[in-house]
Amino acid sequence: MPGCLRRMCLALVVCAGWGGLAEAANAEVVGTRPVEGLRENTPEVHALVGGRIVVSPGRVIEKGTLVIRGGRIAAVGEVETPADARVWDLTGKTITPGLIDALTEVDVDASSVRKGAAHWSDQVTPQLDVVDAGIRDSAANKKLRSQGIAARLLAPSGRILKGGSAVVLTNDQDANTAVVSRNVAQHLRLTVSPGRGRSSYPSSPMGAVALARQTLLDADWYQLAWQASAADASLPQPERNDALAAVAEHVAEQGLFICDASNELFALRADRFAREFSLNIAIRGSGHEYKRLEAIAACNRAIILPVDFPKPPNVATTEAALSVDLDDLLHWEMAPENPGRLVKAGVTIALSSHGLDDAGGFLAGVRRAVTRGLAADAALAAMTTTPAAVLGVADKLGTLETHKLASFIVTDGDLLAAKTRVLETWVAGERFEVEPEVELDLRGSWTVKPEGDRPSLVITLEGKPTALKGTVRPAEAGDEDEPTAKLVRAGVRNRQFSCAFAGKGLIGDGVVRLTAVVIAEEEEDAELEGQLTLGDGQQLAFTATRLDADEQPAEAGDEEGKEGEGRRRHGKPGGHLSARSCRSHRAAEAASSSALSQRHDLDVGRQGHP
Amino acid sequence: MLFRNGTIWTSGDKGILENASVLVVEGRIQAVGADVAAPADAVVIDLAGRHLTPGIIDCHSHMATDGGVNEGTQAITAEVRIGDFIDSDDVTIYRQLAGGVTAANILHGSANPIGGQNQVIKLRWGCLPEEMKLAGAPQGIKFALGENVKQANWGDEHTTRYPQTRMGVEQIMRDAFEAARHYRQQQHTWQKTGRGLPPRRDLELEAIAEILEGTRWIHCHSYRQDEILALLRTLDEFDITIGSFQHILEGYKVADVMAAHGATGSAFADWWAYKFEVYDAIPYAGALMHNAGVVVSFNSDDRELGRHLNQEAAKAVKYGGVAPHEALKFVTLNPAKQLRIDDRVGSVEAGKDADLVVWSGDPLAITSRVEQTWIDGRRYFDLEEDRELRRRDAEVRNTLVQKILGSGEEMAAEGEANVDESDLWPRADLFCHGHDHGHAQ
Repeated sequence: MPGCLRRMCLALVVCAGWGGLAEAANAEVVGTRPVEGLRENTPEVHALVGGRIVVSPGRVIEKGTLVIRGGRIAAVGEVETPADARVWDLTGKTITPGLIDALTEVDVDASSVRKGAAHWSDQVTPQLDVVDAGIRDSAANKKLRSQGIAARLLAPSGRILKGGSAVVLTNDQDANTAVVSRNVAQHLRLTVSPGRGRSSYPSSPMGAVALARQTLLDADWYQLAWQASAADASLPQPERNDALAAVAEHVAEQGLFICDASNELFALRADRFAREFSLNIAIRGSGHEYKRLEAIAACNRAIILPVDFPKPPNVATTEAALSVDLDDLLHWEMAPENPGRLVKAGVTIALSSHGLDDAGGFLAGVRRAVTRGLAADAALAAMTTTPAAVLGVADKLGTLETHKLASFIVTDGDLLAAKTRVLETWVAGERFEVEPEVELDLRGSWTVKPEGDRPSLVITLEGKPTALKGTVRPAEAGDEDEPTAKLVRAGVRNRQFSCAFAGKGLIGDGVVRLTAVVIAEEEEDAELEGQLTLGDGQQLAFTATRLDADEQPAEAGDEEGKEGEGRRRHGKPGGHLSARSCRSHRAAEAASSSALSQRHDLDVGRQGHP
Repeated sequence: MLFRNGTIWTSGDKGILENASVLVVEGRIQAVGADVAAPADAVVIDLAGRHLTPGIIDCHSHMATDGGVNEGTQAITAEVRIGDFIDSDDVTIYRQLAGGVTAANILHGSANPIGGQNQVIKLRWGCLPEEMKLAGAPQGIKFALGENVKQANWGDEHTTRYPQTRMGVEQIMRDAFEAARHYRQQQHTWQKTGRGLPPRRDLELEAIAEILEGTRWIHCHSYRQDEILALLRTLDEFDITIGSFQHILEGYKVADVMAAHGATGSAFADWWAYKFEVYDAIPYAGALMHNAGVVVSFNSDDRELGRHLNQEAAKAVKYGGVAPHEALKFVTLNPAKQLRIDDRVGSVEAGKDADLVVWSGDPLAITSRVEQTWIDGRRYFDLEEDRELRRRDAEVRNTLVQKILGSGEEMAAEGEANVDESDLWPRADLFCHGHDHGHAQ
């Protein structure tokens, strides 16, 4: 697809041209790559003005300013707008700290570490670092940003001792700039999947635990044996083993282990295993923890919870209902209460998208948990401050305090309210639009006046601004059964409107084609100018003006771009604008036109169209 | 708490007591007899002539574990532990309570000569995995002989693991014992002298060393007389007493040697012919071993059979004429002896845990059923309460179904259920009864 290709090219240009600069998209990172071509010195100073700022869970500034400098938060609250800042009017919008997805996974090929001084079992690869496997996944990042997620824990999947994870930003940068912290945790799974066969140890959950247990003992021995060997040249040398060395180092540093727990009993087993070896663990939960709430709370471990609440079991017919377990019925009823119940029991929770078939359902899941007993502040903490603390990145992420990364979400209301839309997700100072910007909203009725003595027509446009439909009728109200025609292929492309309709009874026979450009956008004086090509080939110039502002279609039913996202092209603040607010905001837009043109030029430059 | 006015099968020296009472204080049996007085604050349960027995103990079970039962990859997996994977929510626990079972020996399977460590549990339904474990029960380990461990019945893809013969089985066990002995010696030497590399702690050899030291009991899957004798000779060489022979279908042929070694036998009452090595079995085996002085129990190895072990015990009366009170010991006191937990459970005698079963009639009668099952003086099953719970469950089910139908939410596809991976692991020893027989699955 050409569109995709273009975006990819754009991304490459950004990388090559910008990657090494202090003012790169993730401007807080200082790079080493030599500059090719002209140096880019665009200031990365932003002032977001007038918005409601949720600094951290429970701490809200009703109307304040957020100043960003070089990808970090420079000031927040009632502060002056710096003279060099690009100003964004966020009146009526809410700014919330960017969310941290406490667990996402990637399948990592372990063959390279297996070629080194490896553990005898291919199930033990703690020396594997997920960053080496490549952390960039634009499709995943885009999906996560649509949910307000600005950073995520990325862990290797599979195996028993899986390897080290990293906290990475969702800004599509490479590992040089997008990694916030690496070797954040070692990932552990105290079981294997059924069906591994009878050949390769371990083939059972029992064997998996035994292997993990022996590995931890071996790591301890490995240290001691090497020390003894180094101290006495007469002693034999222990084998070299990168896996045991990695475990030993992680344990010695009291590093975090994150242990999978596919049900509530596995959560207890993870805790028991951790106690056996005095490990610092967090549990990757299953959503079934409410079944053994008291015991799990007593473990006193942070639990990373999914929000993949099940669909109701099929009970549509008597027969279908017969094959449904009561346990499944109960789980459908109880699962959305799991996060809330755990919090009330005093458990530290972090939320994550793991388990969801589509990460685009993350916020919907969280909101459901909120309607089922999870306090909103607790939910926000479980996506910001708690994961930041558990994963050891609280100095950079989790709140909108000075010096932290400028990672936040702009929404049109409270983040966890049912209908709130995520408009923008900023990642370390880089702005990503989530809702696509409306290029041109022509919806409404227009009076089309052709040149000469031809009668005027009225065109009414409805639907989405990007996918219009509509009708055409004579301007002069005549008989009751006045002719109308449907518009076909109505659409806006490159700020140019075009459509076609059957001219019979309106203007000549045959199919009429209409093309127009916008020559004035101001609210009441909007004007189109264009050309009609009639059925007989005759071409007529026309002008069109809005018929009556009151006839604008209502916003209701406007559902465009739920998950879409586009880099801004024309610098209108506030992301998606409805037909009405689009126009009302233009004054504000004009006020910051200098900044806009700067950015606009820059965009053109990046696309290679000077 | 006083159970009064019942027929008490003590499985102890007192035999069967008519019109007798059992006094339970804080989960333990304090007194048994005709004239036991109840303290003023005692809860009195009138048995009204019903029968009361010790809780049934199943010496060979694979329920209540989601650990996979078999770690059958390597010939020796002494390091794996059933105890890591007690599934306290396995509904089989409740169903066996309804059959009067109060304790069970959850064993590793028979896929390898030296399998994993077993776990003795009490069926404390509703408790957590760790709370189910019978504290103080000596540790054990599964050994196995014959067709399963030499891969005779694994199919054509599995014909290379050592051992492939019964002779090899004997040799690998001998090799393991030698290695464990050497392992311990090295540890002791290093502790004394501090010289050399620090010894690596090896959980596999650790468990085998514990066998040599007498702190871990072998429960060995066995069928044929030759392999039984071979194992006993090997164990004698290392001065090890076996905990129990499991299955032991040809034990009746070598009962005298078993008795001389001090071996016990935990057998099937009349289950055989599911593969070649189990053709030479007879239903009189239990009685014959018993008469030769071997401590005999009947086990289930099966979640369905485990629900009526009282009827298995009755087969010792039918085949071989064992006295009824002795026959009941085949599923109460004798398995307790085999598991070395008879100081705690297995009989209705003063000082033991109050693990009791109230029967509607003679426990060896096929028409009798369990009315109540008690563990540690707590009631874990009650027939009347069970009816009430079924009614409650039906009500909850209906309420939820109505809620779903009224919610308008999109339902899952028909037949689509939440799959808990743990439920996919077998709760049976898939090797034990051969691949073509579904008994234990």
